[in-house]
Amino acid sequence: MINRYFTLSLIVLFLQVHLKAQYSDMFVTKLTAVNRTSYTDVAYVGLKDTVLVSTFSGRISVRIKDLAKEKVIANLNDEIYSLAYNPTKREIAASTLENGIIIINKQNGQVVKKLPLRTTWSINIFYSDNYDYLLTHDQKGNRYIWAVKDNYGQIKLSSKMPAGRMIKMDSMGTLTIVTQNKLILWDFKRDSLIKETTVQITRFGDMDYQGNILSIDFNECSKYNSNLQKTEFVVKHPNWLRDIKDYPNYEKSLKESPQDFTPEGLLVMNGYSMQITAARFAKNRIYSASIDRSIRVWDKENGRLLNSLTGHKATVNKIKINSSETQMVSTDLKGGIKFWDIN
Amino acid sequence: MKKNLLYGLTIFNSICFLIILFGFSSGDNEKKLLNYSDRILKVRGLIIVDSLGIERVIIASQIPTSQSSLGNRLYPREKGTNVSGLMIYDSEGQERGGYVTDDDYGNAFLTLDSKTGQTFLALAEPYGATALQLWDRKGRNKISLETTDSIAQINIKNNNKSIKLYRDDK
Repeated sequence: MINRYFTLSLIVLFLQVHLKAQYSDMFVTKLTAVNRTSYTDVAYVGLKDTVLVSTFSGRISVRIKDLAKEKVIANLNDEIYSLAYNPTKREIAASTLENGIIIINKQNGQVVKKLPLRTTWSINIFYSDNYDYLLTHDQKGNRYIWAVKDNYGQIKLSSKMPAGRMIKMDSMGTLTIVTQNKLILWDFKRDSLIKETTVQITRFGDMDYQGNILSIDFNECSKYNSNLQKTEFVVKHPNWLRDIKDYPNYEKSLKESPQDFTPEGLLVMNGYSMQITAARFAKNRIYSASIDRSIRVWDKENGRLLNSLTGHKATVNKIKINSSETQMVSTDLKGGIKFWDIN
Repeated sequence: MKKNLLYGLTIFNSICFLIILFGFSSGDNEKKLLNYSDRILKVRGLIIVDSLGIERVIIASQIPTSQSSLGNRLYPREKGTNVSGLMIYDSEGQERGGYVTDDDYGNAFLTLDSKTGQTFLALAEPYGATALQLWDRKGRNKISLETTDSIAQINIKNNNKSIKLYRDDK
């Protein structure tokens, strides 16, 4: 009898809470002005086919090629802008709006550590090549390096370290720093300058193993040869390839003006060269993503357009290449993700 | 004793439940829900979302900066540059314009933005000056109409070269 009363009591309580929750759903606690469906960053966790993705809503998930569903690892209740994965410790570093950098155990989704930033937030976080260090800078230009093996203890940076954006640290401790006109190799362990090269960078895109740099200036992506100290070529997305198959006059337009369409049936809108959001080197190719929802493939030697990768339904905001440079993954601002075989 | 306590708790919960249920489903309340014409809504913000849940319109006070096309939030608004009013966003969630006032200087303005930056501004300053401006992404081409208590002028910049259309210096 007591059990029956107790069960009934619980049911009534559940219904009350449920009704109350439905009513409360009308309200949000704060204004955000961001698209919670966007993927904000993507990072490989395996050799290929498996990546981590993050969202403005604070979700970190695993996405696997050819699987439509996400496997949610953590919900941080904070906006996430950048991800880095440490396979040796199976930890994820996520840069957030309000809580600095958060380290998460990939296996159970638990927060391992919170690393505060002095001001604002970080939009680019990365591990050194040997995963001994975690590096980033905030929106005001303050730089941070944490020693992973020292339980993410923050390292006091030398005042001698040149100003600029840190983009890479190799296993020997060589730190690559870029400014708009300098590429600096800095010996982090000995606190000394290794090499300084003159470059021309508007917004850093990528650097290959030869030291060549991709610089992005709105709708232009230039390849800067650091050895020759000159820009070899500049590429721009030459047109806007629009998928208008759902439009009512599509069939008619295709029949009347086939020259305006690609063999895949995309409308070629010349005269539109839109902003480039990301650029990457991989083997003998350059890949550039744009708000025109496409990725263009260029010959790394001469800048010739080789291919246009389409299919995203929104701005392609991030592209990443796997370590063996055989696969590329791209995400967009409507939560789309695509894996591309680039062998 | 324990049995009585649970019995009492069940009755109490049932009464609460019925009150809430009645509150949601009574005919009188339904009538109220259907007719708000004589009511005034007082909130700090109102968000209009599309079928995917993407925020397309925000009417609010002190609207935050929005996201960039790269997938991160833009730089924080500097101190004293908070704006309140109506903002519009495209289907990817990017801010594309607004009809707002700022908290510090007291300007009222209407703006239209491309996906990469502001390109149109209609502005009324608190002390009477007004301006209407259109410009390209790099600011090399610009049309500006301005009025104050002392002047009215049109300025045009074409390919970074200023063109004087009309100005009576006397």
